[in-house]
Amino acid sequence: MLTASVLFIVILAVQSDTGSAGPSTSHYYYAARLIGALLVATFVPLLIDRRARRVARL
Amino acid sequence: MYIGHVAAALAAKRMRPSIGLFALLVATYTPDWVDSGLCLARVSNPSGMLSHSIPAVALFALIGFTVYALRTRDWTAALVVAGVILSHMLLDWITGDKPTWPGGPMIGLKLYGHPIADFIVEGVLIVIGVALYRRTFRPGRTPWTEVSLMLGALLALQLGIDIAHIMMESLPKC
Repeated sequence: MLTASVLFIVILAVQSDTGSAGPSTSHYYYAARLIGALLVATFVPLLIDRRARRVARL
Repeated sequence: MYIGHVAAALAAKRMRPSIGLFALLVATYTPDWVDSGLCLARVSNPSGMLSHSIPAVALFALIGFTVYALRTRDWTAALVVAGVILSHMLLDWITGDKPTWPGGPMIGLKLYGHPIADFIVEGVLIVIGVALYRRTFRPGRTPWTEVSLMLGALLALQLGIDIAHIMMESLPKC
């Protein structure tokens, strides 16, 4: 479920239409897309690792 | 390279388990974080020269080494962190097309234009990274469900990115 949700967000972020975005907004769109992808790539493995460490301690 | 960078962080976790995975994940994506920051600040960063060139990544690695060493006094771990930052540049040369130095050539196999090949390369790196990550747990205490989840989630993320690249061939840049 978590993976599916994250995947959905990533695809949405990458696919969002920027055709109407002017030059001033394209910077923010690109930055937001990149930051979103970086947050996903950072926190998905981090959260799974936290859970794995907790389970391994039990 | 996208999720393949996580493999470098996972491999480094195996090398030095005392380093938190969060620090390694930040380290592995440092050039991309700088890239996004420069984009937000509207600083011109042609072809990623200020974030992905050899001098830039070397500087980030030096900063990462210094900050981690000063915080923890663990010089070996600081070297590992610096190595993870440097790995970003090396891994990007496999899949991307990145600058070397001002006026220098661009380096990379440009696999972004070949999403299937990109997925295979990054997938292999992810499998190796997760295999090394599994060995950070004590023998007999491996949480197989979570390790499998790690592998599945990372491959799914990479697949999503590559499918998106197939569906939108030219993604806008900053």
